[in-house]
Amino acid sequence: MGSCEIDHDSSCRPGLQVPQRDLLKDLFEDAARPTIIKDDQSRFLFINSKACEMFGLDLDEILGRTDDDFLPADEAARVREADARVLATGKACLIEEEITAPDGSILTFQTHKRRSFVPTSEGKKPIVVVVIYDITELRHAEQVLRASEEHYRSLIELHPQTPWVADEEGNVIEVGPGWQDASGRDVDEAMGRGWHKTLHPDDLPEVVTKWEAAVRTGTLFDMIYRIGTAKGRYRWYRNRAAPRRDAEGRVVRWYGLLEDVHDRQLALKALETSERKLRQHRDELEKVVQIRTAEVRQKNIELDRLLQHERGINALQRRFVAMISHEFRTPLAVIDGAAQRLTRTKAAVTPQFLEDKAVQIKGAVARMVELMESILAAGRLEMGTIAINKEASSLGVVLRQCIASRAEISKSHTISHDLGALPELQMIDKAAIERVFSNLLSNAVKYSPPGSQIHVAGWRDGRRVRVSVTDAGIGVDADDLPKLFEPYFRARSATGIAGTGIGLNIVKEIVELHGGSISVESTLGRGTTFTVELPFDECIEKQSA
Amino acid sequence: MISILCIDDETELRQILVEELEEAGFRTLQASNGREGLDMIVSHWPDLVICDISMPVMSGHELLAEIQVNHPEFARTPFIMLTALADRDNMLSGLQAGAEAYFTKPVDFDLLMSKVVGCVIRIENERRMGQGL
Repeated sequence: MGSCEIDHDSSCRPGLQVPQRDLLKDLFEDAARPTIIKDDQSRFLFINSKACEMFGLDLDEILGRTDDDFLPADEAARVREADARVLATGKACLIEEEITAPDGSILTFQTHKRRSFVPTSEGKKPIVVVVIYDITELRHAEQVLRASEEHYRSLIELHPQTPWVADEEGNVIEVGPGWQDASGRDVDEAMGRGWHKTLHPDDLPEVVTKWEAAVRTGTLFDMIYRIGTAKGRYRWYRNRAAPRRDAEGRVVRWYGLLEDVHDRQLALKALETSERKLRQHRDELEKVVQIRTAEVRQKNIELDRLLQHERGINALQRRFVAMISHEFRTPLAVIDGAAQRLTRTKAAVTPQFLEDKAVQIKGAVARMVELMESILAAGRLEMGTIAINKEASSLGVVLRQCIASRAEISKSHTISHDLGALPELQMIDKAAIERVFSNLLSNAVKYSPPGSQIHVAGWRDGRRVRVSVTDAGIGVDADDLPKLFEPYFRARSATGIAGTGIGLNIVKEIVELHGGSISVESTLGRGTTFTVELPFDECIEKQSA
Repeated sequence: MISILCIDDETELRQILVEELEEAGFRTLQASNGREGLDMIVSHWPDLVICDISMPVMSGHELLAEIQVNHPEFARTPFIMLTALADRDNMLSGLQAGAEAYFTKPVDFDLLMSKVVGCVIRIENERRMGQGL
């Protein structure tokens, strides 16, 4: 209250007497920190220039006033309370407080308050010496730092992947909390080489080898492997790590990231499996297609061959029909011609003339009958109704008869024979065998020039009997030989020579029905030899003996 | 005297034809295939040829072609084809090759002889005109 009295005589504002103010200025103006002196009523007695500067106020504006004039009420109350405590107890205190500056900004102060005394005319008077440390910047920096740390911590803790750190020797020294969730083990257990025991035993050796290699060489580490989970199952993780180096390039830390790739890995594996299966399936399919294609190609070839064969047969049959027509017309023309001559002759009909005509007609008729029979035989062959009735007969006798009747018809050729070495009897169908050799002899005559020789030889060769018919005729092209026994086939060398192309086919069939075979050798322009081979049963010989 | 060459590998038939032609007053020549026929034509200059088609060594068609190509001096000699090949194709190719007529066996001698006589009259007319010139 006394100070109030002091005040009013100098100015209307509360304040100190000038000498005291000068004293305070002398004492505190040069203080290193903003310093404020308050009286026992918390009125500002003095503020050094550092404090004025800090608050942006003039000394005169402040002196005699209280914190209530500058601060919000609650702040001012807190300050006043601290001042009162210091004044009352005399105990210095260091408090941290937030003060609203006149410009509205919040400043953080570490404020040191102590009680002191100044001499007055009434003795000494207590004052509060307030020294302010402005730690606003410091606190701000701390706050920023804290926020930053929290930011990174959140980043690590909330990151879906698990970061980890290892020292330069590859010992894990820190691991994100994700590891615990993943492995079901305490983070501590991962430290050093502790993480080894969480790996799938199949993956462990390779992972360890590669990690040690990465640590040794300072190269990037990147692997996908399995880690045991809390539930005892394994999950796939991708683990990547890169070294941090110091200024000299030495590795000081390893920073790694463990990423759960289980679902991706399973999908990948499933994809690989299905791709492999697909590839396998495709390969199999290709193989099947190849096989089927080959089969189809083979069948096509076979079909083509059959078609060609069929076409060949058809062509042969057409030629055969044309040939039959031709072959019938020729003897018919002879018969018709002879008949016309009989009626047309202007000369007297002599017995000789009549006989000539009768012979011509009979010859032509015989030729037609022969033709008809061979066609019928061919028909029977095709129907499979040729019956062979074998009986013990003399092949030699049959051959001699054939030769004799051919010699009778074809006086232009000489037919010799050598049949002495044939067995007495053997099992043959006489009529059929007769047809075989009549045909071979008729061919020999037909395809060799008049005056040439035909030779028939027969002999026994162990359990076979062979008969050959050799002519010195036109021969057969080598190309035609294999087809010579096919039905309707006619050799090129036989062009223009009457024939049906069925005779040799019948011959072959009859010989084969006897269990024998027929072969042919020929030189074009030199002649042909047909050899018939028939089986011979020795029992017959014994019987005959 | 008109000479006619008969070419046929069927001896019986050739003889009957020769008989018929000779009775009609023609001189005849004989050959048993195309090759022999060609030799006869070249050596005997027949006025007319009656020729089979299907024969060994050289067919009637081949003979006709051979004459057209290599013996054009005989190209105007009338060729009467007489054959057991009764199909139309054969007939057409024979006529196209320059045959005078085409008869199939068995042949009606009246028809054949009419054709022969017709040819002979034409040949004689041509000769007479040639002499007149």
